Formats: sequence, structure tokens, C-alpha cells
Amino acid sequence: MTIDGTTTGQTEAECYEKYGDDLVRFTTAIVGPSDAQDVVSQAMVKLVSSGALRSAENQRALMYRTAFNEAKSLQRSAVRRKLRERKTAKEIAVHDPDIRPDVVHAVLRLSPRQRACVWLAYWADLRTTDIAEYLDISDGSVKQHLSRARKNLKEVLDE
Amino acid sequence: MSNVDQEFHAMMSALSDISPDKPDLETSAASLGRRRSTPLLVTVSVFIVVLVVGTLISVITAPKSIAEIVAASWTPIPSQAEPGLVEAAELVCGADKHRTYSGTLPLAVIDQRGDAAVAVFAAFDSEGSYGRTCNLVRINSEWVSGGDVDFAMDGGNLTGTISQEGVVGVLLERPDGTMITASVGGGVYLFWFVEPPPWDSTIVLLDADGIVISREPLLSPGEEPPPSSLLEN
Repeated sequence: MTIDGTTTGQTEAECYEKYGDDLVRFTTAIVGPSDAQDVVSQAMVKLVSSGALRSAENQRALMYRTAFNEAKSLQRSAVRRKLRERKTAKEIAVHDPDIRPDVVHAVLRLSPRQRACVWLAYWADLRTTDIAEYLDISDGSVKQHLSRARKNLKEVLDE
Repeated sequence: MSNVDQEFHAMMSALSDISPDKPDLETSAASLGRRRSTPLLVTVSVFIVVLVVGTLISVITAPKSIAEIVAASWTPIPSQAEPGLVEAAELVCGADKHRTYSGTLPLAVIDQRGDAAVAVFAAFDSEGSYGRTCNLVRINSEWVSGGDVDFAMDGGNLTGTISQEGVVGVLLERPDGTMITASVGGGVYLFWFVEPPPWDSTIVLLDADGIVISREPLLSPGEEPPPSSLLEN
């Protein structure tokens, strides 16, 4: 059942069936396509083994939050992060040659939190209050992340 | 929609397009379980190795008894007493009072063999000579009192005053011709033994050139002590 982006009362399998694809897309935006599946798997195993998902008030938000935390753990190595960004940029260039390479790099250089906010705002069309709940941060922080991300990209576009 | 918003949307769309399919959770859980078993195996292995090494180390470095230290330390030739040993002897044994001597006995000589040593505190006055021995052992790089375990009792120590002039070295010559070297200082010579020397051994006094000044038989218990022996040990 979904009420204003809030979900509850579904089994883990139902949750995964319903939000799994989006969760992988969201994770791809943060860690790239090669690690997205691993991150989602880790997050889901954690949620299922702890039983937290079944009893969560907002199951979808919990799935995103857990996946985001797993993604952040993976992001910590700077060298690995750069390699992932390069690989992702290449894949985007091949898949969608209309996107300017400098835009690709500008977006990939955003912090994981900024990128998560951008994805949830521009792709999932969530309100800032929902994004705040999904990422377990304040509404003000979400606005700030989005504002900074826009500013960064605008600078690139203005050059 | 601004230019920035459009670009963001296009980028998010591109990222979504290249995202893989959602993983099969059953397969993922199994593979994660396998992945987790490796660190667990490593942890258990490391724990076992640490346990074994720790046990070995504790066996090797287990505190030895004073008697064991003494037995393992003995050599026929003493080493020069280390400065740390001299300080420890003064600290540990120097304050002890002699039964009959009124003053504080000064340190006369220390006989160090390995990690064990005997110190002799001695004084001489018109009434005679006064001596007191003190045992020390080195445990964990630190010289400590040999305590009540008087290792010299097992084999005995042998002290004597040197009344003749020019004596700088003292040997104990066994019947088989082997020699044990004493430590000499403060008008006193000192040996200690793990096993008592044969009573038909000889005390040999030497000068600075190694020339024998005199030879005295080692008296067995019950015989009159040599005039040079200290009154009390």
C-alpha cells in the first residue's frame, strides 16, 4: 500500500518486487552500474536478516536509506571511486552520446549525497521532505544539496 | 524547466538506462553467505594461530623458579658485575643490618654468573671480620632479591678474607685439575656453586702476574674453618 510515498505492511518479497528495479537505478546513480547490484544485494540481505523491513513504517524509504548507506561504504575509497566514475562516464558516453562529457563528469563528481538528492528529485520526482526521510537527513540539507548540485552544474554549463 | 534541470534529468535518465537488472536475491544471499564465510574462516584461523603462538610464548617465557635460573646461569668463570647489579645489590641488600656489627656493612664484592649473583657485604675491625651475603637473580631484565630461596644453600658459597698482600686472583682447583674462578674485591674472595665442590679441592691465591702466592686446602665440614673465612655468611 502506498500513501503519499509512504509504504507499509508488505512482505520483503513484495517490497523488492515493487521497488527493486528503481533501487538498482538509484544505486547506479551513486556507485555506477558495476557495483549497483552488489550494493542492493547487501542492503536487502541486511534488511531481510534483521527483519527491519517487515516492520518498517515506510518500507520504501528504509530500502533507499539502507541502499544509500551501503553505497556510501563502497564510495569511501577515493581511488576506487575515481575508477568507477571513469567507467560510468564511458558507459554513458556510449549509451547516450547526446549528453555532453563535461556534464557527465560534473554530475559524477557530485558527492554521493548530492547525487542521491538529484536522482530522487529529478528521476523519482520526490518532494524534498520525502527525500529527507529517504536519506535520513533534514529537509534543509536536501535543499542545500540540490542547490549546490545545481550551482556546480550551472558553472559547467556556463563555461 | 531550466537548462540545469534538463541536464540533470537527462543525466539521471542516462544513469537509469545503464543500470543493470535487479539482482536475484536468493542467489545474492547465497553468494553473500559464501563471501562472509571466508572472513569468518580467516578470523577463526587467525584466532587459532594466535592462541597456539600465545601458548608457546607463555610456555617459553613462563617464569622460572629461582633455583632454575641459578642452575642455568652457573659458569666456572664469573662475569664482571654489571653496574645495574651493583645498584640493585645496594638497594635490595645494603640496608640489612649485621647481627653483631654495629655499623652498615659496605659492599665488598659481587660474584655474577649469568642471571644469578651473590653479593658480599663485609667489614673488618679490631674484633675481627664481619660478612653478610645476599643473593640476587635477574628476572625480566631486572635484578631482584633471591629472597628466602637461598640458592647458595644448595651448593653453598665460599667466601674468605684475603690477608696476604698482592693477591688479585683466587681459584678453586678441583682434584681433576679443573678450575673455578672467584670474584675478588674489598679484601674478600667469593665463589658460589650449584653443586658443592669436592672437599679435597684447593684454594689457590694468585698475584697480578698469575703467579701462585699460596695454596690452601678446602676444609670439609666439621674441620676447623680456615682462618681467613668470614665469621658469618
